[in-house]
Amino acid sequence: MKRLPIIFILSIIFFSACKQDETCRESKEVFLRVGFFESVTNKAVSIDSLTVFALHQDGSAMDSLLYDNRKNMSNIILPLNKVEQASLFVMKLNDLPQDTLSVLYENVEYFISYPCGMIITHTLDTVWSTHHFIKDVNMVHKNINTTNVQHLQVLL
Amino acid sequence: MYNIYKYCFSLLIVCCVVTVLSAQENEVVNDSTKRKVVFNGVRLDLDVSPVLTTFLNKGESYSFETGIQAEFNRRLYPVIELGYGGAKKLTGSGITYKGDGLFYRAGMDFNLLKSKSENPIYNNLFLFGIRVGYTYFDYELQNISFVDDFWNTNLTKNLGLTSSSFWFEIAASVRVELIKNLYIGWTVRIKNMLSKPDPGAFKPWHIPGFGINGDTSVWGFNYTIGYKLLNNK
Repeated sequence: MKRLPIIFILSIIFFSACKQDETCRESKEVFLRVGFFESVTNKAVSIDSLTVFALHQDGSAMDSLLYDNRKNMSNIILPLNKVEQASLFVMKLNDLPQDTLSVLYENVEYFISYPCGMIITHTLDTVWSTHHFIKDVNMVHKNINTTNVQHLQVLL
Repeated sequence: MYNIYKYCFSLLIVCCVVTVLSAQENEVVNDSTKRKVVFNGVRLDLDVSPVLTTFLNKGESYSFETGIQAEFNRRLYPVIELGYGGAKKLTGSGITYKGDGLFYRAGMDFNLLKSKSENPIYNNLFLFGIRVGYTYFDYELQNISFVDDFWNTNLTKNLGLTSSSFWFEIAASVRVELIKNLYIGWTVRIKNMLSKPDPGAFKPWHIPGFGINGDTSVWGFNYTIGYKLLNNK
């Protein structure tokens, strides 16, 4: 019984040393994932040369390219604007006239943890495009979060 | 589900209070034997461990508590505990967390130590028991930021929220009677939440009376000084 205070103090010190892990070990990347498919056979296709860039809300092109003449692309990832509820992307396929992909969505705050913080996820509302080389766009999954699933199918 | 927990907790509190305030001795006559329920007194405990634990937690969290425990037949020990706790922390993601509030626990302990004598000089105890805990408190999250390098946007927000929590504890305690009616002792607890928040919803970093709100069980320690009132040896 006389050793009780010492045992207690040592126990507190020992268990206080077991701190919570403050390292974020979860993914925080949220992207719109788009796959390219042949419109007749519905099979995935690889595009010879693909260039993609985003447009500002006023319609002007952003300085940085998302994809610059990339080869053999069968799927791409696009970052959606977390402040606005619409994002526009221009796609150039080989030497064909470019098409514009328009995406309307809702921004949803998602709390991961205190080490990771919060992220913005999205719920797709409407998607459409111009039709120079794009035949159609299908919405496969509406919820855009850190899960690695394809959200849109672009039919060529 | 929340209402069921609230009513069960309230019923448990009422049972403990009625037990403490009831008559000192009741006789229950059985067909073949007479069983006595003997009220042996009430002990008031004060937790003095915050002096050490707040220092070891670097002041990020703090908790102060007191308890009142009745004694029946030197075997059954219903208990009510009341305290105040809180936390302030800059988290790894840059969010500053602040929250505090009152917490309550009610439960029952069982004395595993058998005394050889009918009236021992010193009433030392080794208790094992359960608790149900509850708290309702406010907390703030400051500097929640979203930086988007591609779209060149920077959004910062602050939130003020309230939360209530129920949890379950298993506790082991030792109480040693230093001099007549004056006790010192310690309690070790393992605590588990009774509900989990929805995925993606805000949750408090620290829950008063429970501790840091992680995904696993939480250990708790108390070192108490107590005084026994209404001692009916």
